[in-house]
Amino acid sequence: MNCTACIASLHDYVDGALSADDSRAFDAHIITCADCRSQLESLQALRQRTRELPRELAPARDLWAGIATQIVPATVASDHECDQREPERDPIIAAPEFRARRSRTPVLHWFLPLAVAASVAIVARYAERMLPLRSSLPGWSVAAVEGAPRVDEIAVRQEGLLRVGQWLVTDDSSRAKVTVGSIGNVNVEPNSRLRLVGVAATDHRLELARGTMSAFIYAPPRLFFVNTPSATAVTSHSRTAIASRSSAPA
Amino acid sequence: MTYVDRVAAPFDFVVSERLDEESHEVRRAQARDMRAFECLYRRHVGRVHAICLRMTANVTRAEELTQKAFLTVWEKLPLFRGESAFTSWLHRVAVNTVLADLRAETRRTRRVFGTEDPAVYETAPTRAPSVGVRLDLEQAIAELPPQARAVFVLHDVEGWQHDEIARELGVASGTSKAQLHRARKLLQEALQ
Repeated sequence: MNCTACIASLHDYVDGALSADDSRAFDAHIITCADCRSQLESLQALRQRTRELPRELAPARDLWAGIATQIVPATVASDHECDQREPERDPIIAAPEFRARRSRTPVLHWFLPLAVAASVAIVARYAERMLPLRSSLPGWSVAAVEGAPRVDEIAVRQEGLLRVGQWLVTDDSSRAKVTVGSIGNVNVEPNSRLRLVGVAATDHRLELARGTMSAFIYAPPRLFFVNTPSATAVTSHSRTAIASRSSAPA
Repeated sequence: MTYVDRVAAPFDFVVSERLDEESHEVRRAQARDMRAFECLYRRHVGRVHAICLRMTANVTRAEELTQKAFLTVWEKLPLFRGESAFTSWLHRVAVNTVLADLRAETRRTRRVFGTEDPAVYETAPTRAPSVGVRLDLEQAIAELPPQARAVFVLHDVEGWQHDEIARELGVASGTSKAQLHRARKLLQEALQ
């Protein structure tokens, strides 16, 4: 093999695409030719560096909220196309399908009170099963300051979302920062357990079941509340810092 | 018990447990359980975003395509029959999402420039974000011409074969090879 043929075969050799005979000829040439050997080593070094690239590159921001907002309307729409199907055994899909079908059932006047009662029973029965769909609920962004805080058992790598009803838990090596809508932020210290209770315009409310948090709120008084097992802290000035600690069991 | 047994058994156990958990989440997501789907998203967003970012070399587009890929996965999940691993299927959806976008952009560019000269499509991409010690290689990949970059990422990073790449890109297998060699040559020059 000469240099021209060797260089032409370089990539196939590195990719293992040469025949056994061609590989032997390539090896024989490389031993004797420093220029071709140098090119081979350069290509092999590139292949090695490429193999060492990380398989994962997390986005700089949490993209889930944008996905969730587009999924929810589609889910509702598909529920209305399920008239002819029996409710699934899976409670999470069964609940909306069942409700959608029932809402279009013709109702006779004399049957109205009974239908209302049945609707109430259905709603009560499936309300608890609907809870897993709370990913459509509003929430506040949460950022990992240190370690890997978890929102409902899911680790927050950089940024995530804390929705109404969800628990933010920090262990002894993690801390988190929660953005309280547009009125401030909350620092959550290690070994804390914090739940988002409500995000109404006039009632931004957290529950601190365990641990320590501090809040910096820039808003009129009585917009931000923190429930603890023994008391409720509330902002009293337009710029308030709250520090709460709870040692109650989670 | 041999050394290999002692080392391999716990690893296999962890992998098996994770696959069980994932297949459970896939089934729940197929039943339109958004929380299960969010778990799948959290688990795989890094891989999907890596594919999108490396193939587009554009942070904004990569984020948009990552979201689009997961929306496609949500739509198509009921059709997923588990004939391949969920991860493989997901990565395939991600790649197809990026390739469809690249094809659309090529059509847009062709309309604007009114030329068949491929050089006009090879505009300088937006730089990828800093990735520490890998910065120079990541940046060099980001600065490759679009088609060479796509072939390089699919072949050398994602491990696809030339016939697969050629099929997805709608080119001959030899073209895929030529683009790969071109990409490697440009990278070698950039990294010298």
